[in-house]
Amino acid sequence: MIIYFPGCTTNQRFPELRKRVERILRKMEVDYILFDEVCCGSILRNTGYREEFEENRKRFLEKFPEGDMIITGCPGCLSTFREEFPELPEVKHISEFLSEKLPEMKEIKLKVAYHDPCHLGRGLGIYDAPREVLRKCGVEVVEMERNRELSWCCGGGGGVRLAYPELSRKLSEIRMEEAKKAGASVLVTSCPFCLRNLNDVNSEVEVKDLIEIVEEALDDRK
Amino acid sequence: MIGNELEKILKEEDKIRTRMKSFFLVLQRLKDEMSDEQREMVEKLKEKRKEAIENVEELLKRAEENFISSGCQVFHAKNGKEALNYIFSEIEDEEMVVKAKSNVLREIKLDEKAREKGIEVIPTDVGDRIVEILNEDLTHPTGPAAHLSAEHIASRLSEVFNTKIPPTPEAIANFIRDDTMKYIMKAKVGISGANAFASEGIISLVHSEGNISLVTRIPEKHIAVLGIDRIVRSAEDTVTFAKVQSLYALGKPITAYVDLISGPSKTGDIEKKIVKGMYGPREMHVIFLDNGRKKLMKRFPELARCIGCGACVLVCPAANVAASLFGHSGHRSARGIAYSYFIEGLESAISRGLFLCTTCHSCSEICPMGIELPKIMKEIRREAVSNNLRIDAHERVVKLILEEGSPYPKKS
Ligand code: SF4
Ligand code: SF4
Repeated sequence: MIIYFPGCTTNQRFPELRKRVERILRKMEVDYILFDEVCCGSILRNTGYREEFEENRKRFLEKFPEGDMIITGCPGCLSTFREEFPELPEVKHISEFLSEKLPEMKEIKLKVAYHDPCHLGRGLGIYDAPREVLRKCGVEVVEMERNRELSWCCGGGGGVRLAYPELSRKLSEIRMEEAKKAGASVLVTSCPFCLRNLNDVNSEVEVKDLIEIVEEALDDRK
Repeated sequence: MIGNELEKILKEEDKIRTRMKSFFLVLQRLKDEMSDEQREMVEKLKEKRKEAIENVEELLKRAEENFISSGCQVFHAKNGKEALNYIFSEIEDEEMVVKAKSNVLREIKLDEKAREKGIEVIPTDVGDRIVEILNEDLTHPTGPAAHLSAEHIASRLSEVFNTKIPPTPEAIANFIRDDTMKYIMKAKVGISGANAFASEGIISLVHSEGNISLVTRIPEKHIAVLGIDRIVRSAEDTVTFAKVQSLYALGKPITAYVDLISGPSKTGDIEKKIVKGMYGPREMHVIFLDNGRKKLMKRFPELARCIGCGACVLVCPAANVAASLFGHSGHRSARGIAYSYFIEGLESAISRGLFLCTTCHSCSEICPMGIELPKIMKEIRREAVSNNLRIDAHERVVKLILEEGSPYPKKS
């Protein structure tokens, strides 16, 4: 059985994104259960609350259901699982899962830039899977000057958005300018923190999660 | 408070853009430059640095013996104050000394403390000199004026010197050289750091402008301040060190100059009698500076491998934007915050931006020594939290996670 873990930010800040993932999973006839009762504790870990993290970890494990594989769309949860929860089954990012499972779809006229989320790219080395998903969805992917290993941080991580929102804001503005310069009409990311932070910027470039592109492409097929 | 300062810095749009552009230029060079041999060299140096830090006590002892036997005077400074006192006693009655750019000299606040004593310290690196004259913050260890445009520099310099300097890099450089040379020729004492030093009793100084050779040759006394973590085993290692540093600091395989110095200048050519201070200085003083480094080496031995190339600064979003707010004087960015923790303590680490780091991993990705700075930031944050030095906004979220199972308040 597959466990879908949306993560708190997706679950509570982007509930429609969670619904999209669930619709996609059903459409692809994936048997899954949803778990969203306890936070993975990523924020605790990044801001120095180690004891609290351990306490949360225990509670998490008590509640976590049995399963064979976890999928999540949140790179923060993903790295926390991979690095701090050895007792959990294999964890995949939704882009890894979809890059294998999605069919090839017809081309659509849309130029997107892909923003590598720090914790997904540099953190876990997942650069190609999201790009492969975009390719399968038939959109044109343009690259920004700073991409992959050199990707510019959106400013949303490490508790900075909470502690110094003005810095966080500036970093996201810079990223949106880079997307515009690359000639993209949509900046696609694969992290709810990036999505949230980049979305706050006023820009003619739209910000979307990878999942939105996938669902639109799947709908388009019919 | 960081908050107010940050607001000010974020408004300096031009400076942010200029800084980002010059940082990115080096990064692109670095990306294009690396050959397989260079990659191998980097790996080798990493091993050498690891080995040196593991055996630091033994190597330091050997270095001291070797410096002494080649005629240097060695002094151990536990902290910046002891180093400064020694330097001031050696400067004696001089009112002006010249210095080579060095993060360690910035760390001990040489210029500032000397000024309080009525001694003027003249920086000789162009970028450093500009930043000093214009009273600006430095941006990057090897590109201190990276955030200033030629136009800005020329107009400010013209103001300060009451003359007219054209806004071109050439004109500015010429002006700075002519002015600085006067001081170098006059100074009795030249002060430098060292990029690295070997247990064989040799310091290395890496530069592109040629000034450091002059600072360490022309005045009759040379004082070198060595951060004890910059030790390697052999002279050959200091050269590898220089090459890797140049690659990661400038995107170039080597700088124009790599000086290796093991002692004062002397000749034995006249009746086999040793005469000191022939063309170079007659005295060389070597200061081994601890200033928290022994503690750092114990707690984060991996961080002690740092070669100070500054590549981590070039890629760091916080350093690109928040600039001087993020790091310690002389040591920019996350490693500067770690240094300040060991030099001055936890509160200082926080006020220097411990919580400005987005944990984006850009620095650890590029670092030639494989130092995981975000991990170190998290460790220091952990100590801050357990010492009750917390950020209010974080506290609120932590409470929510523990009480409600999520960082966001549940909708009622
Ligand atoms: S931490 Fe790494 S990248 Fe930064 S200065 Fe040190 S060696 Fe260079
Ligand atoms: S992890 Fe922190 S210190 Fe390193 S580059 Fe990112 S913001 Fe800068």
